Amino acid sequence: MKEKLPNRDHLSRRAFMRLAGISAAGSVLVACAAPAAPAQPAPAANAGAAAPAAAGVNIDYMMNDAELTDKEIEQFQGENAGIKITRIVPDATKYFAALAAGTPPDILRLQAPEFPLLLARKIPLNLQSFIDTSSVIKVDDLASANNYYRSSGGALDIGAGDVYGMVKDWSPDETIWANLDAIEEAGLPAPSLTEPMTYEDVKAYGEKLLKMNGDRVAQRGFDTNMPWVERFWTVWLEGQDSSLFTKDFKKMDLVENEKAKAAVKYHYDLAASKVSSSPISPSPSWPGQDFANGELAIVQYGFWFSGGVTLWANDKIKPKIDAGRIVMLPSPTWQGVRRGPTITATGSIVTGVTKHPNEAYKVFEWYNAKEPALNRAASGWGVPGLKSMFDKIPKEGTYRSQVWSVLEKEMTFADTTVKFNPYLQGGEPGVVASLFIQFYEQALKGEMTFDELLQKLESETNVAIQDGIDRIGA
Amino acid sequence: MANTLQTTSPTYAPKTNKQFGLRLRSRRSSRQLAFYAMISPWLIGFLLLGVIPLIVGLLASFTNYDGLNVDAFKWLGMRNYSRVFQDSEALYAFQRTMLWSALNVPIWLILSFTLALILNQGIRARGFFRTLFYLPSIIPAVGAVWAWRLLLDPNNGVVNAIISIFRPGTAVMWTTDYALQSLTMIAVWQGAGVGMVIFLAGLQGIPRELEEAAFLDGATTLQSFRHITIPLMTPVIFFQLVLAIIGSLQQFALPMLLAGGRMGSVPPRAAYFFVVHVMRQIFTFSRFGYGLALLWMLFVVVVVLTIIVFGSSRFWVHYEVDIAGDK
Amino acid sequence: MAALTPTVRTPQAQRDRTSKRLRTSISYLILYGTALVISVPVIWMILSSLKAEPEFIQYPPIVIPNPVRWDNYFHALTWIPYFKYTWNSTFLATIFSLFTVFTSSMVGFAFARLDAPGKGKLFGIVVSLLMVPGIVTIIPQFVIFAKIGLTNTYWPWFLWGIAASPFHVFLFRQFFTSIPKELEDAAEVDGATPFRIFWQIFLPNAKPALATSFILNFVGVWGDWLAPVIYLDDVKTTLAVKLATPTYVNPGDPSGHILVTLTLAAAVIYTIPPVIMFFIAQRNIMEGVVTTGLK
Repeated sequence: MKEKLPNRDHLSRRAFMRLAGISAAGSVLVACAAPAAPAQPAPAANAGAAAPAAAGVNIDYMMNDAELTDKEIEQFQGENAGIKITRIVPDATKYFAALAAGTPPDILRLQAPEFPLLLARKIPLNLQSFIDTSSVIKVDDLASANNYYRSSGGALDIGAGDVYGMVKDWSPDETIWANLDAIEEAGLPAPSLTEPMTYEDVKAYGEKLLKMNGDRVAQRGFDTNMPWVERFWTVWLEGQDSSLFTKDFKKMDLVENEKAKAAVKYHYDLAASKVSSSPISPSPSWPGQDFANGELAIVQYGFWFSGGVTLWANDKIKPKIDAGRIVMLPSPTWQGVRRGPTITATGSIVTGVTKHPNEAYKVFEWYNAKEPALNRAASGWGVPGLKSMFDKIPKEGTYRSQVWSVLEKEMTFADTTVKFNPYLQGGEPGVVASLFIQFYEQALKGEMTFDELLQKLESETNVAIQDGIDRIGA
Repeated sequence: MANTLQTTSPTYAPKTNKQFGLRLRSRRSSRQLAFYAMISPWLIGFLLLGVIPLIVGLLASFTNYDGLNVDAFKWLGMRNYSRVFQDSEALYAFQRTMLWSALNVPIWLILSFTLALILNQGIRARGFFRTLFYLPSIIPAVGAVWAWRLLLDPNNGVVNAIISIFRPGTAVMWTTDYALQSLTMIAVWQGAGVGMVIFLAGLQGIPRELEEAAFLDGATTLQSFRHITIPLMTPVIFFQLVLAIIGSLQQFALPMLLAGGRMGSVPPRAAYFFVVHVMRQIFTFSRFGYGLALLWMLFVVVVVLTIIVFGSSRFWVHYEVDIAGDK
Repeated sequence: MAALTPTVRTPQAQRDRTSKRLRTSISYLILYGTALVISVPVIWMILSSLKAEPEFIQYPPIVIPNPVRWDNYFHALTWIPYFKYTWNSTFLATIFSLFTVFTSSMVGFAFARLDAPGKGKLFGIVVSLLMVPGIVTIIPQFVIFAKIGLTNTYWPWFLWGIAASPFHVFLFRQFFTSIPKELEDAAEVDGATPFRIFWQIFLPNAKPALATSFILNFVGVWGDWLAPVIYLDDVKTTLAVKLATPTYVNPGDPSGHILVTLTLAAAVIYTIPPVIMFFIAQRNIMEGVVTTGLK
């Protein structure tokens, strides 16, 4: 095997230990008390020719147990003597503690909006040299969603270039799911299965589909995943050559930006009219379950929802699925622009401080291009990360063939990535969505005006950006 | 060791009997040694596992540490602390937490004490009731809060469904507008059993003879309750009160779970508690140092409250032996 | 008790009896009322755990599921290696509780019954440790354990156990301070060492406190998920972690919404072992009553 030198632009292990030392100022004392303390491992940066795996290498993989099963791990370990996979529960506190100790997992689970910040912090290992020599993963075979984990330079140059990670699977996330029977009952025309609606159309449908019984909402019209709102706004605004932020991402551009205000207003109005769930009209569980219970007429979820709705549907909805009355519709257009990229792209990256980059890559490759990837592709819970596996997507039967016909077209529009702010944590919810959720209850209850809400959102976000800039030292 | 002990503790040996004085002195110092020997597991553990993390936790509250910033790690001095007073959300959250504690602590204390008193008598199926009352504290919070959400949900909840039989279309916002009250209900439901168990243990410590003697002296049950049970229980009540205040001020799991139970969940305004705000600072905004500063401020408040309770305790807490120890 | 009741019926005794009857009925009223309120969510949780996934939140609410989904329990047990996690939880909870009950009672005894310079200050430390929010120290402490290579092992629980818990030190101290001084004096005259007084006089008299402390510790570790999620990997971890993190989730759901009925079924099974333990141990809490009653 050719010697692989991991790219040097990740955080060196020594730097990491220095950092860890901050949170272990007193660890020296402890080390004295415990003479048996293990020797410091050699810095990985010097260990380009990683030690042979003979002694049994352990790779920590942060992933949910449903996403990386015991069976799959056994299968890998059976075929790769000397490499052990340890699954780590994805948990923020755990991750934070492991970072502080200088021992983050070798492979991390994350979503696309989280990647820019990690790259700015030099956490991921550049995998390009591994991919170049790989017989399993070819760059040409990478589905477009993987571009979220590619960069041609820094955190602002994401979308193409060196590969740092891969999606486990993905979906165009703006597609919507409609209950055609609910629409018919309300006396509304059936939406087109092939042509996209505008977001205003969807809202109009939602308003007419809202059914109240006294104070109780008997049927909500249209709902979406609130923790993703800032991701939707990001997509819409990019389509109009605008953004939630200034060009350098160092300031939020909301209060003075009519386009951005309109995007925020859209979700705000849905909440205010109780068409969607919110603190003034909370969902009993979550929009996906509400839809599967027939208590929500239209919901915005990606292709992955096709696997879920069949499981979650109650006896009222189940027959509708088989009868083709529950359908996936194309991503709506915002201001006439048709887009529809994935905004989740859940995937994994190898961390730069890993002591065993070669073995970590081997596990990474197996997870993303071999058996586990094939299992996921056939499950119908997401589009595979490799184009060569697209033919595994289930397409049989009334329901599946309708979903496939929309998905196939949708993927041609999903061929883009959007840019997320590298100074802000982009989890679920990210900073902007989280602040929006924190404050919009007051606006909905009349304790502040919509404009005050925007001002609050902008000023608090700006503080968070400034904090982020200070921490990067840019 | 023994040397230092002798210099710090004056001897009160009567001068007239040297022999006796020596014996008393050695007895004192052996008892002192025993004290240090017996607390040593805790003391050593505290020094090794407690002090260093506390110092680190304190130091980190003066920095902009976020787990990742090697190159731009900065000492901020008092900036994190002065920021607390400009953070209107933190002050709001603090208000809510005080309100919540004022609601939660007394109800919990009275209910768990009452239950313990009742179950300390010859009631049939005591074992069953004790187990039933304790049960909610064992149920994992995820399951427990889901069960309550299913009951209290404004739209599909059981409580509103029952009210709707009489008044159709009722949708009282139990989980948002009335989140504080709902959470009190849930917390008391969850915690009453724990309080009860500790009170029961305390009630068992009261010598039966005292009550029987009082009874023979013609005291009514109420009198013996007021003059024997309550005074003898005050140390336990005091203990429970202090802990309840501490626990209440640090509550964050219940509102997070009520709001959906994921790390990023934002609880409704009414239940936006102080430590919820802290968790958001740390995990949503990566402000670890600032989050710690907030927690140390909370610590100060808790200390002040506890000192007040301690200070008041001399007026109402009854001890067999002297509380302050080395007076 | 009955022997103590005066046999002569005076008007005073009559009044006592009516007031006693009134008190008893009020007691029962509170008892049954509380029992009802406490049971409703528990019963609803059990009922919900037997429903099909969409039914748990259906409107109008379904009370008795039809058909009853017993297979939820099967899935809850087989979705993850449930019994392995149960064993992990049991092991950790037992080890920790045994050690911490012993050391906490000993430290509590020392603070309650022995005198030494600096005791007041040390006790102040115990109390103030109760007040430090756990999250302040949990990460630096993890770093220390990582440096000495004890993360992803059960050693931290063993060490935490030996180091006693401030809460239980406080509990035992409060308990021991209310034990009459005469008990101790007799032994002291015989020249018993403080440890013997603790071991032979105070501990046997502290069964209610010991049982209480053991139960609280056991249930505490059984239910704690923060420490195991940070310290242990997914194989060594405990049931509490599996219930607190998105475990019963469909693999493709990017947001990880839990399957509520399965989670509730898992939660019901999870609750059973400590409940049985409590039911057995609670007799010890009441032991004092039993012995005085028999006298």
